[in-house]
Amino acid sequence: MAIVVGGTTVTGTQTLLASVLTGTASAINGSNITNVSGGKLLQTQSALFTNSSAHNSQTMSASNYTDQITPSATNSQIFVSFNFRSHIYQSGDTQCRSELAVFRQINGGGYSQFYPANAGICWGIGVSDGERNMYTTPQITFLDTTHNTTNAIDYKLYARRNTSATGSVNVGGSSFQAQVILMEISA
Amino acid sequence: MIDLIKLYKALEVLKTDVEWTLLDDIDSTSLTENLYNKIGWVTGADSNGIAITTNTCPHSEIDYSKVKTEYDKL
Repeated sequence: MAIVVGGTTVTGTQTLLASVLTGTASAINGSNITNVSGGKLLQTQSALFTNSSAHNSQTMSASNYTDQITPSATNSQIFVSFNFRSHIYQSGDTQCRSELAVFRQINGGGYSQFYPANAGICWGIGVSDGERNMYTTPQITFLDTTHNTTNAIDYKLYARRNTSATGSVNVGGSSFQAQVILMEISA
Repeated sequence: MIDLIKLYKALEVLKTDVEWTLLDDIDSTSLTENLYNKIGWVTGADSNGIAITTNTCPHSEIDYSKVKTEYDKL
C-alpha cells in the first residue's frame, strides 16, 4: 500500500526517524486495537473502620470488618487483605486464645468460613495463672481462586475464643484504623 | 469508645463464662441501654459454625441495670 506524505507517494520499506517527528500527536482511539496485553490488576475495593466488636463465644461471630467486590470474570483471582487490631483479655486461668477467620458470601447467599478453610488463625498465650491483656495487629492475606462468579462477593472477618480458653476476645478498639483491601487480578 | 474489657468483667461478675458478642458499629463512648440491647447472647451454632444469637438476654442473672452497676464500679 502506498502512503502519501506531504504530497509525496511513499512505497516500499521506509524508515521514519523519530528525530524528524515534530508537533503533538493526535488523540488515538484504541477501540479497534487488538493483541495488546493489558494490565493484570482489574479493580480494587477498600474499606476503613475504627469501630470494635466483642466475640466472647466459642463459636464464630461476625465483626464489623467487611468489604464487597464484583468480579468482572469468573476465572479472575481476588487478593484479599485484612489489617486490624486484635485484643484478648483474661483475668486468670491457663489459656487465652483468639481464633480469627475470613468468611465469604457470594451473591448474598450466606456466609461460610473461607480462609483458613479449617480452624482459625489462632494467637494467644498459655500461662499458669495471672491476669493478662494482649494486643496484636494481625494481617490476614490470601488469594481467592475458587469464587467462579461474576456476582458480588462479600468477605467478612469473624472471631471467637478458642474452645479450650476463657476470657474476652475483641477486634478493633481505641479507634485503631482497620482496613480491608480487595483486588481483582486477571487470570 | 466503650471499654469492652470493663463490659466483659461486669458480665463475668453476674454470670461466669456467659457467651456473648457485640458489634459496636457506632463507636460508643459509654455503656447505654441502647448499646446493651445490641449484645448478642449466644444460644448455639448453625451448620456453618456461626454463633446463633438473640438480643433478648436469656440469663435471669443479667439485665441492663445490673450490668451498668457493675460496669460503673470498675
